[in-house]
Amino acid sequence: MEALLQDIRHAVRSLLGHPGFTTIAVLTLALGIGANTAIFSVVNGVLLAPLPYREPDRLVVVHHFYPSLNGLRASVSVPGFRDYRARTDLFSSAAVASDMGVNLTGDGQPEHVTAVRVSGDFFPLLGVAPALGRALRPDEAEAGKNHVVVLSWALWQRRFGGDRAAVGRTMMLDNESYEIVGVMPARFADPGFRRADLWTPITFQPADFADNRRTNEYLNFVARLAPGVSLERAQSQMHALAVQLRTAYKDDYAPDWDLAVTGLADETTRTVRSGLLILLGAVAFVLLIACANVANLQLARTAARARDIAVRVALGASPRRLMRYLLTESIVLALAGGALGVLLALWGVPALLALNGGNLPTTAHVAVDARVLGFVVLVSLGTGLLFGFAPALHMARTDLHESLKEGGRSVGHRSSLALRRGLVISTVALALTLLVGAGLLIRSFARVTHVDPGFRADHLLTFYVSLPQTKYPNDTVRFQVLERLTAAVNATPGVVSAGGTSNIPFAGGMSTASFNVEGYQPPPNVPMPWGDMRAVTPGYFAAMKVPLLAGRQFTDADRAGTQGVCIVDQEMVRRYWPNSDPIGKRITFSMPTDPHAQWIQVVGVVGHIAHEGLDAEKRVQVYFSLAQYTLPFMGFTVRTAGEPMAALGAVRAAVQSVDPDLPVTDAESMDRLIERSTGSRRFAMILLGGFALLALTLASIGLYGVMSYTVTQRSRELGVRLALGADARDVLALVLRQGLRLALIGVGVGLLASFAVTRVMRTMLFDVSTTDPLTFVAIPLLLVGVALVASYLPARRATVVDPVVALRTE
Amino acid sequence: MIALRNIEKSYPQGGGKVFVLRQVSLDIRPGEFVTIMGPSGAGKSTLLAILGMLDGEWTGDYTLFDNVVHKLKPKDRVALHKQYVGFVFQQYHLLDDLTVAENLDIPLSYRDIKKAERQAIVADTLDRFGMVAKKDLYPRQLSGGQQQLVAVARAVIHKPQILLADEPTGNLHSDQGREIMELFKRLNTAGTTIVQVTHSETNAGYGNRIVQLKDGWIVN
Repeated sequence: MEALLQDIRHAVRSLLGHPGFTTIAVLTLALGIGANTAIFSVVNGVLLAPLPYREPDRLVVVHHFYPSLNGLRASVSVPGFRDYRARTDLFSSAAVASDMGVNLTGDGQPEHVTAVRVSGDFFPLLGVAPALGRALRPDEAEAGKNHVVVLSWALWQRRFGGDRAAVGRTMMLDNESYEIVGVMPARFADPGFRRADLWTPITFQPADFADNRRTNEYLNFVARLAPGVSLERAQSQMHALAVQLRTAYKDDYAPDWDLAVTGLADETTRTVRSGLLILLGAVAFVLLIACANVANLQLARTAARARDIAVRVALGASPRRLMRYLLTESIVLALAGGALGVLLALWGVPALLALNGGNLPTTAHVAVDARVLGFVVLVSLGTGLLFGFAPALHMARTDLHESLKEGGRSVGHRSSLALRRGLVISTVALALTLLVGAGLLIRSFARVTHVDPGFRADHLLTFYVSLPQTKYPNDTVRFQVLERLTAAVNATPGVVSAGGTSNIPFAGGMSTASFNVEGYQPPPNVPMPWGDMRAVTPGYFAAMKVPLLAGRQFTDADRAGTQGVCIVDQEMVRRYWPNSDPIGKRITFSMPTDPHAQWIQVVGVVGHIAHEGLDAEKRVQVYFSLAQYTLPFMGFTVRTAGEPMAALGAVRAAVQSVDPDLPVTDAESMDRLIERSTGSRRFAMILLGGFALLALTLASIGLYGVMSYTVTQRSRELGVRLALGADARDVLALVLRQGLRLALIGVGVGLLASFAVTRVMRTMLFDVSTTDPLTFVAIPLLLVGVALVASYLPARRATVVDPVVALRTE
Repeated sequence: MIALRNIEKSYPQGGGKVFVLRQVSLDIRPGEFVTIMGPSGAGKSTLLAILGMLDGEWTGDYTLFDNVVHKLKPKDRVALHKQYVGFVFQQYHLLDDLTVAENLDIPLSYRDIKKAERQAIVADTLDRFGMVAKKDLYPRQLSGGQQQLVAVARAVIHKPQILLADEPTGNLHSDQGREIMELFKRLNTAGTTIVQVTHSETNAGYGNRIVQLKDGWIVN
């Protein structure tokens, strides 16, 4: 122990005695460890941290699963919620939740908030107690008792300023009075990990349990596995149940309809897991490059210290003790780098989250916590051993007798140089792999942003308005007020035209359905037609500038009680009527054989528009007249003469001139919505690009270091060459050639590695192959260019080697 | 052939200068074998480096085959050096990673001679110096005498008119030293002008003139 302390003391003193070396090494390590710490903090908070519920690993979610619809996972229905509990013994408790927007009125500005309607077991199932008051009780699902509400911490702070007396008071939701019975803790997250402002009981009517509602899928099903039940067993039993139900209710389920059981934690992180793990892999590469660079510095320093080390040996240090001393020094260096890395991460984690812009399912647990600090210590120790081992071993093997005799000038430089060249080749290879990865993401991003959304996105303001059922109880009054709202917005100064839709493109949310096309019989094993369903106003396509390709727009004549009509997109025509005129063709949501089937006639064809994202797969799109399918809310798409958001005030005034209690919600320009839809792609691209740039910088510094060292080591040779008639050009070419050779070997190794590594990125790419020729040519050229620059400075220095001095120093 | 007038070389030290060479004036005629002698630190090697145009930081006048060296740009001095000068060092300074044949090829490669021609010259030189059997060996596989033999062969392979040798036998035992000096004598007889730096009276005996240096001054 005493010897170890002595080693540490000497190591610290030795490092402090070489501030230049120590500063560069610590900074290099801090960048590597800091980047790893920041990304690991996110991975820890998102993928590793247990969900904030009691025994979270026993919680599962159940989905309706459609293998033939690209593996679509849908919510469950009310009959499903009943059957999955009653017909299996898999769950000790289960609950459903469904979110909806409600208008919060009363004190202060009207506000549109997200209400999650939950069944009675919801809070006991999660095992989280409210911070104030009580949770909802199972008996409060009954009509007459269900006007109770539990607030989120954020809403309680925002609307009530954190007043504890809020519990027991009432608040107006969609013009109905609700009693506040509790407030959830600040760290409580809804298991759907959607924004939830409040929770109210969900109430079912007997009609909701009818068999024809079996695929009316709008409930998120969460359950706790019964003791002894494994996820595999749950999955297998639910699949068996799906087969039974499919057989028993042939008309109500698709032929391949299935049930999927997923762990809640996996479900929560499903969309971000692979992206985060790829980023973690990328930063590991950066750390490896940092290690290689510091090992290079260590080797250079070790060569210069050969005589000191030889004296230690002469004084009785065993090779083992020597190794330990040198490794101690490396670990002290790595821990210092780790400490600085933590500081970088403390700054970096909030920056990461800001850059991510809300694309992670949860960020409540993302922080530099004890587990992250433990990670830093482990990584630092591992790093110290990694970059310290090779130089220490090299030193232990050096012929120390020679080093004493020669004054420690050039001992072992040949093997040391070989090792250093090997390290540089590795860093170039690693950097190339990261750069290729980043290059592919950048190319994908460029492709995505050049996708035509199918409409003019500029000068477009979007927002939603919801109509409380209490105030607008039926379709007739709803449609009337929606018409008045549209007219009021259209008449607003600065507004060119306004349209209404059930789903604003890029604003999140989807609405799909399966349907039948008259005269079309899907081939065996091909699912029935399925696509996006939209209800729109007559002015929607004009406001969006979606081209009408055939037929007509909706008109005011397309009203309730008249022939059901629809407009389809060109994708629908391509799939189902490629060789015939689609106008006049009919579709239905019923079985075509049903004599009571309601047929909807196609009256127009419009261009396909992107909806969920520029990179989303193309689904067919069917538009209905809002007058025939009125909803209690509408999304407005408003084309403005000037800056869209500048018109918001006037538009809001227009809406509230119709009804002062109607809030305008989720107002955003379409440009911003589209930009946000590419957020997670941009996040991955910027991060991987940043790491690749860091890797490139570290690799070029490493190459520069080795070439400088080489020039120093070869000064005698260069002196001889100059004495034998070499001129500056000869020497420059000699050194550049050597640098280039190292870079080219690194590029070769890196290309092989890239072909292997980029395969895992397939899901992150768009319209770019994992072996994109442009990327695989441009990146190596870039790297070779940087390598030439990094070699040029030492090469220039080599040309001014004074042969007299170089030859005398021997 | 070589005319030096008032050559001075100094280093700045403290506020003043330390002189390595003072007012050195010297003429060397074609075919001479000149020996520069003097105690350590007298400036012998520096004078040799100036003669070989490896050192460009000095004052005074230097004329070489009617070329006014002191007025030439560094690039032109390199060209002049390539044309006229061969160097032999005390520590041989063979390139460790190159074979004997490759070491011999180096000076030729810097003189834009085509590869086939270079190969012929190297083969001829190996033959002339009796080193054909050793052409693929590396310097570390040779004795000191053999290494210096290669170094001399390398110095004269491009047929320089002036051979400059700095303590050429300093690292060799007497038999090996004698062989090298005999070789120098033969080269000189064949027409090569030689300037050597040595501490050895015996070696000086192979030359036909001795220049004594002391504290940077020529003393005879």
